[in-house]
Formats: sequence, C-alpha cells, structure tokens
Amino acid sequence: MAEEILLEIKDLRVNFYTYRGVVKALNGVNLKIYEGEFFGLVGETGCGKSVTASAVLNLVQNPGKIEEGEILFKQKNLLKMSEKEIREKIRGKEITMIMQYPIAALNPVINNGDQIAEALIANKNMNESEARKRTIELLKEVNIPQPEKIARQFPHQLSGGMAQRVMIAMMLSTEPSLLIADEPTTALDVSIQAQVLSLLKDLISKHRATVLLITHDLSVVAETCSRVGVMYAGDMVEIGTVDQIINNPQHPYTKGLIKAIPSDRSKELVEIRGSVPDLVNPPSGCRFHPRCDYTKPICKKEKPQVLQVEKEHVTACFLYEESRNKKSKEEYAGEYKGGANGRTDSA
Amino acid sequence: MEELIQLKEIKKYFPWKKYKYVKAVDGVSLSINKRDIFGLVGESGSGKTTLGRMMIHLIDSTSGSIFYKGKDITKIKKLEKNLRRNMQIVFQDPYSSLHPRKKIKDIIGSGLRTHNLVRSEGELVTKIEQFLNLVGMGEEHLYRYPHELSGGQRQRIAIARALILNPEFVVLDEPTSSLDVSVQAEILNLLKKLREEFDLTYVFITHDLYLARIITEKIAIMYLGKIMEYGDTESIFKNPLHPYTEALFSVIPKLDPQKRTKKIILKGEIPSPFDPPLGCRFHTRCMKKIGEICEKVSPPLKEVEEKHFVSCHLYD
Repeated sequence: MAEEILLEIKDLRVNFYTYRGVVKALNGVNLKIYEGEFFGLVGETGCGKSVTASAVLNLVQNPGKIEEGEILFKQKNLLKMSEKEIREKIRGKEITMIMQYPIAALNPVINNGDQIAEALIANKNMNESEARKRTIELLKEVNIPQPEKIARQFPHQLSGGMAQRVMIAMMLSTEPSLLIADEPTTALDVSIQAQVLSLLKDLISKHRATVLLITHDLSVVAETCSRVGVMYAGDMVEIGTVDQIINNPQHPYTKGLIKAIPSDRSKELVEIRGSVPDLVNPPSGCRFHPRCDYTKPICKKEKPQVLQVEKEHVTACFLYEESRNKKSKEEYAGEYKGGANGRTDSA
Repeated sequence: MEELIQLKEIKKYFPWKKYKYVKAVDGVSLSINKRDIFGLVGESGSGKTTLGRMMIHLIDSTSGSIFYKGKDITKIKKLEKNLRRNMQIVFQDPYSSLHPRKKIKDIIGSGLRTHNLVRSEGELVTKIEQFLNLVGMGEEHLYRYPHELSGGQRQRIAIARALILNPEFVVLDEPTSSLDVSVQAEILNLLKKLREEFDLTYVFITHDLYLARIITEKIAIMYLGKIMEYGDTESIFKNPLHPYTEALFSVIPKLDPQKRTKKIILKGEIPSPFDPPLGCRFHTRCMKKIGEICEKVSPPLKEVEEKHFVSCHLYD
C-alpha cells in the first residue's frame, strides 16, 4: 500500500435543514484514503455514507450544508475552493463518481457513445473524431461486445450491467485519481455483480486510480477492498484493514453487523435490537448506545474518542478504551487524534 | 411427510404483442411437503416470483397442473373462499403493498371481514391487537396509516395481515430485500418463530443465496423459467452439481478469505425470455458444455444423489 495520503476528511459535519428540524447527517467524520488503495465505506441506510461522498464532490445540496471540517484532496482543501474551481479542476476530472442506478444517471436522450465523447471533448480537449475513436476504445476496455453498436444505442436499450459498464467507461475516460463508486453493484444480479467488480478491479490497477467504494454489503468490501470504514448514524465507528474489521472487530456495532448479515459464516442471523435513530434528534453521547448491549452511563453523556487499536485500526467506543486502559496507559498514547475529542453531542 | 402442494409441468407464457410470448415459467415440476420452508432462488428474470404467484392462484397458469392437497387448482376459475384463506402471500415491497389510505386496522382486518371470521367489531379489534403483538407491534398502531411506519414495521403489518386468517401456506416473495440488514434479521427470526407457532408451510423467494441457506430446508435454483437444481439446502450448498449453481456459489462475495474458491465468472447476461436458448437454457453461458446435445435437447430433472435433482447432461 502506498503511504501517500490522497484524500483526508477531518471532522466533517453536515446538516440538512428540513421542515422537521435539523438532520445532523454527519457528526464529525474523520477519514484518510491512501493513494492506490480500495477503500470501502460500509453502513446501513441513512448512516451518511453517500453524504460523505457528495461532500467530497461538493455536491451537498440545499437544504444540506457543510457546517465544519476539512476535505483535503492532494493537500488542498476542497471546501475552500470556489464552485467554479471545483467544476473546472476537480469534479469529473480528478474525482469522478459511479452511481447506484446507472440507467437513471445516464442521459436518456443522448446515445451512449456521444455521452462518453462529450466528457472527452469537455475535459480532454479532444476534437469530435478523436473523441469518438477513444470512446470505442474505452467501451472495448470495459468488455462491451460490439462497441460500435452499443455506442449508437440509447441507455434504455442497455441492461443494468451494460449500463454500469458504460458508466465506468465514462468515469475512467478522464483518468481520475479518485473514483467514488456509490453502491455500484447493488442493483445488479450476483453473476453480473461479479463481472462488474472484477472489471473494476482490473481497470483500477491498470489506471492506477484510487477507489472509494460505498456499499451496505460487507462481503463485497471483504472481497474487493484493502481497508474499510464502518459508519453508523453519521459517525465513523471503526476503521481498519479488511482483516482487522472482519476478524477482530472492536466496536459493538461492527460486531452486530457481521452477525446480522447472511454470509458464509452465519448459521442463523442475530438481530441488532432497536432501529436506526432519527437524526433530527440523535441519541446523546455515543449514537449507538440505545441499541448497544454494553451501554454504560458514560456512553449516554459523551461522544467516544477515536482510539488506536493496532496500526491502521481505530475505533470510537468507550468499551475499547476501558479494556485498553487495563492493558497499558502509555503504550498507544496519542498517535491518532480524532476530531471530536470528548465533545458532547449537544450541537 | 405429507405433501401439501405438487406442481406438474407448470408453464406460464405472458403474451406480448402478436404471436410473441415471454416464457416466464417453462415446465416446472416439484413438490412441497407440509411444514417445509421451501426456497425458490434465482437471478432476476428467472421466473421465481411468477411461479410463487401461480402456486397460490394469483395468476393463472398457461398449462400444467398444481395439486393443492390433491386437488388441481389450475382447473378452477375462482378459488373457493376457504382455499384462498389458506394461501397467503407477503410481497416484496412493503411500501406499495399496503393501501396508503387505509388504517392499519382496516388493512389487517379486511380479510377477517371478508371471510366472516369475526362476529363483532370488538372481536375484530381484539384479534388484530393479538396479531399486532405477535409481530412485535402495539395497539397504538391500530389507527395509524402506513406512511407513519418504517419499512420494517410495514413488513410486520404485511405479515400480520397474511397470518391473521390462519393460513396453511404462505408465499414470502423476497420479504426482506427492501429492508436494512439489521431489520432483515429481525423479520427472519420472526418468520421462523411464527412457523413453529402456527405450523406453517413457507415458500421463500429470494435472490440471496446465503439468506436461502439460513432460512430454507429445501431449495430450487431457477434459471430462465426452469429448475436447474433442486434438493435439500445443505446438500446443494455442500455439493452443487449443476454448472450454473457452481458458478453462482463461486461468485457470491464471502467474508472469510479461506472460503473463497476460484471465481467462475459467467460470460454475458441472462438471455431474453422471449426466445430462450434451445436445449439446455444455460448452454450459452456454460463453462462445462459437452457439445451438441446441450444445444438441442433440454435435460430432464434427474435424481443424481438421494433427493438431489439436477437438470444437466453432464449426469446422463
């Protein structure tokens, strides 16, 4: 793994101002993504994984607002850039995004080839015939049979898997450094999912890009990613390598999630009691405490700090703090400083 | 064990424009015993939902017969009330399967009224309350509307609605696919508990193989309207015999690296059901194709191991 940090998110807070009240969607998220890695972001509906992605592209839209934090991409703070700068330099060039429903993301009235060519003309200063030629090459690269024919067709004529390939071709056309894939295979069948994921892996290593893979499926992450971040209700609860998260989870939510998903391990499913909280009135302290089996008084009052478990492995839970304190106080001191140090969640 | 429902060469062709048909289910034979949890597994377009709906006579079959307790239900135009009460369904999407302008009480209670199972309004309410508690909800939900509930709660209402008529046979059409994982576990455990309590027979339709492994006792793997493999869930998982099943199992993402086998990535996509391939439906994508016989002759379901049926020429 290259050690160069490509993207760093520091204490990111995003609120949505709705008529029901303020939805505190992101509650101080910290995240580092190294160059060339496959980073997975896992969580249930409404945990803030897609909001994190849109914040990176500065696409958080009204009524949403980025309240606080920094998003450092190649050491530059994206949140300080103007919309014009982001549009011209970052979005669609340096950072691109694949959406969950490719057919909805593609323009229905422009044929597939022209959509890709348009991106090339706009971003790569190609003329029309060059762009068309490159389009066919790109379609070939994503294993589309009869690329000339598909280029002339419209998105509605494609199956889900094909449309996702067209999307991938388009997103790779500008040779981005970071590719955000938001649930790229959720709408696809298993056999097609396997095709798309293996294609994505091949292309990424060929183009030397970095991927932020957003998904609710921990098994997909286990197979494709090198590191994982687990999110719950706007908080990053645990980050580690795939092996650390799967085999040595520290946070009770991560443990619960692994037991709740049907996988090669499970003989029966263990439910996580309760339900995801309403983020207009999120639980105080640790947002997971109403559903946690190990809740202590402190969990209700304070937001847990981010603690180092091992190299690359961090978790935000008082339970771990306790067990660690038993071991040694100085050993792990202060290498990783989370954003919201002991701050109470009363904002 | 007693047989509850038996399907013989059941087919469903949906007409499309003139002279064209979508062959959604194309000759399926299987039998389901009482108290089974029977899984119908397949990718989209494999015909699993159509088959499930035919089993409870929600749609007519094109040909073939379905024997429910020895009685052929395909021959009847309209089900007798008693039979209809015995066969219930829980749909995939709880957001569209509950009437948005009816209160929970009326949604759950309408079946009781139709079948004259309650004598008074008071009895109706008591019965509904009893079932609301059973699915983990309270009396306070009686007078609410579906939009006030979460996805998991709605699915509980749909389950209560199906079970309040005291059915024998329930088709569960991907009951958890639109729910979050932690809620999914809750609903599945509830369904398991209810089966014990009411001696139910389930047909569980899903595209998730691990889910099928956890909840079902027998499964049928479908592809393009035909059954590829069918038998006890465990024996199929331990020893998948059909190349399609084998490929499918190899590509489902796994948590444990040591359980990962070499991935068999199938080429292409599921062919169109308008004109499915001749011979074996799977031959266009099969990695173990023997030769001409696969393209010409449709392989029959054969008992290769004990109670493990496969439809493939490899086992001729």
